[in-house]
Amino acid sequence: MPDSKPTWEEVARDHGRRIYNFAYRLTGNPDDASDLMQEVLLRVRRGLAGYTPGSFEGWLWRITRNAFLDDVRRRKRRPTVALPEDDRSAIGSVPQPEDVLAESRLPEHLQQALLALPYDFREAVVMCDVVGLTYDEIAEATAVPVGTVRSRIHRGRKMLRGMLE
Amino acid sequence: MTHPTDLLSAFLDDELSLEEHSAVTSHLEACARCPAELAGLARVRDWIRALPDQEPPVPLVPALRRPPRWIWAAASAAAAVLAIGLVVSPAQPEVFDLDTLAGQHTARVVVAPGISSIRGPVGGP
Repeated sequence: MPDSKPTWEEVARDHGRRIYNFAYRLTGNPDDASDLMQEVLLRVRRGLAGYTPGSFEGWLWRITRNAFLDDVRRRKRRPTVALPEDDRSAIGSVPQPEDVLAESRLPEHLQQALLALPYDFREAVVMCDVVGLTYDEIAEATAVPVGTVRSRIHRGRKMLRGMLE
Repeated sequence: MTHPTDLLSAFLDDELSLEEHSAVTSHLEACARCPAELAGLARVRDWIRALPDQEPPVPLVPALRRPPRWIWAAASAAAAVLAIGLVVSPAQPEVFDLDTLAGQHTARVVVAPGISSIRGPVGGP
């Protein structure tokens, strides 16, 4: 999107689907994802007046991330269960290799594995591989250094590999 | 040999500086272990990127005009609490049916000054 102030209809049209998919992969269910998407678009509509044209992706995904975390706090649920050092043994039901190889079940296993990641890793991986943000954009959205983003994505993928292979 | 394993994901994503990228490339050509690690990470990345795109269940723009589900849930809960409150401690009626009361109780009537008579049956048990 060019560095100009978009309307919220444009944001909904151009980014709503990505926001929904981000939310879906973070929450793992369509109802929560739908609620989150609506909340994000409402916040975008309210926030656009104060938006200064610049890094739109960073601005939008910071709103999206904050909306998700606020929702987690409101529901008083933890966004994830932290894993001990041994990533693989921490998962209650690790998919069997033969199941993983059955391509039709891979998305299901992968979604479960994503949900088992510590939140910071899951968020970074989803922003990178589902939403398609650059490391710089993820760093801006999550307010951490790029080096931290790099580490989170790498560790997240490594954990996923450990769970799925 | 020091393995640059922590850089491999960023290498895949083309997120390394030129110097880092060059160093990792040189290492991969000489290392027997890291190419397999890189391939494993690439596989995982491909799986995630191939996850099916989910279709939002509601039209995006009209969805903005409807409050999220949790608001409806909160409103329903508030209505339920109110309804329970009404059942448990019903409000006292402000209008009495004198005919019914008169059949069960002795009526005590205070006549205001200037009223000379009362019409209608007045009785008690």
